Amino acid sequence: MGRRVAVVGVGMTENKSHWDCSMPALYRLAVTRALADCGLTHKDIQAVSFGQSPEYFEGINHPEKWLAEACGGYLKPVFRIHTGGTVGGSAAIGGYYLVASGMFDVVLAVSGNKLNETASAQIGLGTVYDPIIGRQFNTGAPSAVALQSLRYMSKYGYNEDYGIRAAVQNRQNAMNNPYAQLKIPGYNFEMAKSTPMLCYPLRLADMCPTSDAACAMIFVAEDRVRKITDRPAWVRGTAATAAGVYYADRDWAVPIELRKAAEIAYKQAGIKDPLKELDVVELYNAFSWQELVWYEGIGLCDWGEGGKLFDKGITAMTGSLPSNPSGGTLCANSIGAAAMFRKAEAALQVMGKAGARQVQGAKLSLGHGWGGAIQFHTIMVFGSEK
Amino acid sequence: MGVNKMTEIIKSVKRTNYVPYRWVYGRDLSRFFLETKNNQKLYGVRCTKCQKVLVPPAEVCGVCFAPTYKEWIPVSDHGVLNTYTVVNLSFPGQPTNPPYAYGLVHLDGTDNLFSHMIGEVEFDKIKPNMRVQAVWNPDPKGDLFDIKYFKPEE
Amino acid sequence: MDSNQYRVLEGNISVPYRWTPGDIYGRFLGGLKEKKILGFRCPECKKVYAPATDICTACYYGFKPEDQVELPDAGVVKSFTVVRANLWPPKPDPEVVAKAIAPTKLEDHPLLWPPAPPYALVSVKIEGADTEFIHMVKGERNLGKLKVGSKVKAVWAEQREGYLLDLDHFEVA
Repeated sequence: MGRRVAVVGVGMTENKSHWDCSMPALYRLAVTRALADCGLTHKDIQAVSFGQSPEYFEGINHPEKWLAEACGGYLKPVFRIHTGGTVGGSAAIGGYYLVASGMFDVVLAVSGNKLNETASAQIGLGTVYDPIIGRQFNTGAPSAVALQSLRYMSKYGYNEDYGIRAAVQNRQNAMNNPYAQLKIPGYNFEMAKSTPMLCYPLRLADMCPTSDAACAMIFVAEDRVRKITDRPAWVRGTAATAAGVYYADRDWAVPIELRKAAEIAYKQAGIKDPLKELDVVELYNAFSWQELVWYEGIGLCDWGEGGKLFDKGITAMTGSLPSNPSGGTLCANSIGAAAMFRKAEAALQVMGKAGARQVQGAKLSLGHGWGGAIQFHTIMVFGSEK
Repeated sequence: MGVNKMTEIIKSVKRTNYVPYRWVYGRDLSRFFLETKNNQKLYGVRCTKCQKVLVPPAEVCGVCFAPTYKEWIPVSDHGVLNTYTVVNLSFPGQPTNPPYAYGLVHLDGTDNLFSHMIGEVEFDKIKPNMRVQAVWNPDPKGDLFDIKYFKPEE
Repeated sequence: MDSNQYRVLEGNISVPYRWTPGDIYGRFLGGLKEKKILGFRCPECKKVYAPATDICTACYYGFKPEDQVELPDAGVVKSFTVVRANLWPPKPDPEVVAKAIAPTKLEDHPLLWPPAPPYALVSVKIEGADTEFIHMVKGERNLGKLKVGSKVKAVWAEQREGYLLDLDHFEVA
């Protein structure tokens, strides 16, 4: 496990079209907010773990060349990490590793993207597929996740309404989140169900928006924590897993990669029954059905039981284990920052700093991220107690 | 001096990036597409450890990290439609104008999923787990569209 | 299998972008449209950045509009290289690019492509600035005279849109 480490500061930008804000200014905004959150300055930062997802979104390769200074990385080690949609999670875990290893005491993790820089984010997404055996179908994200969603529906016999209901729950939660993009007053089932079918079985309501955003987290070694804050989020468990795209016996509705990550993180955190022990989870639900699939992935229930768990209301804000009080990735998706938002939201919950979206008394939280062709997963478990 | 006019703040710079590529198929995919072009036949490879058959061929089994190339196995161009979607969303670089259907096909005698278009069927008649078969392109070029699409099995 | 049966797929990736220069660089580009070079002075270290950037690298200061200063459209060459070889592939057929980015229109997002040689890539210290501006010197007469330390002056494009090449090139003074 290495040294004990805590998150002491979190900085977020709003998720929206930042037409007046360049890429460096966006990263700097998240970083300065994280520094202000814990009363540190850029001079206190010893190393930077930098994340951004596929370069084709902004058309600028090697973005850390351009953005190192925007993250306060002048004359410091800056490490770029990239694992697709879960890059924000990988960058956070990278920042944690740098401190846990004993190499640095104060490390900044920051990740972001500006999806509105291209005429269509789907072109950038198309370029992540193999040009010889896959890009021909230039599927983008919605149609790829449509395959996952229909597989889940047909395998377990869930009707279309489950996705819609999961979307509505997240949209209603997002009303409490000042950083969310999709905030629609009075959003309800009928409004969601009446949206157009874009990629069967996914309607517009089942999909995330296209956001520009950055998110930053500051990781600090155990002996420095109390001098900085009396409300840290202790890292209790971390895990990252990868798999392939075309491997044998793969079932898109059964994310064994995520289950493996959850098992590793729970073992570190000493969690035996996540449904009972966790107080809040933030899941990377870029599309509505993933809310249910990820319940199963992180072991809140057995395979195929995600919809039934949702039916019980346990994961609603009024339930015993609220999922995505922030509205999740469904209501704000910059891709590059989205998985770090999940980690940062989970950290804020145990710090007691989540504002209107706070789950009262949250002591143990989980933040998740997925990337690639649903094959990369990251998990961080945070505790208010060490 | 005249009136001090405010300098315009430029809000966006619009350009297109174009990069030409030459993507190398490599040994296995070259042979795979030589067979689709010349013989309208699909071949897979078998993992030397877990014995699973992968199509298109991969040089390593991702699960076992074991080589696969010791066997070159003919497989059927019929199979089961594992899952699919009908795309109504329009964006650059699509294979055809929406709406169109595409999905993942579990070819008979293989152990992974093969993605391709679905044709010759009304969208609301497509169902998960239906039997499908490849429709071959009469003008094959040695690429993925040597198969035009998969259609419901006759 | 015969090695000449190894296959290669020829293709391209074409993506239309609308990059956001933001509040600071957006002003710099607006200045170029008016044939002006605008710099930004860091209030902490007093260094002047031209071309503009969002952040003073050393101070981690985020520039504000009021830090703007107008500079002469002239400077001194700190370094250069004369480009005579064309290392790029042939410029693509516009129809190929237009087809690849449809339904986005190529006229709304013109192809980004490097200038045709010969030209010199130069690093120019604009008078009053503390940074260097990477740009071009063009024309055989100018290339023949170009030295480290040469004084250069901006040559402005006739048609200007708020783009880096509104300043077409520098000529040796």
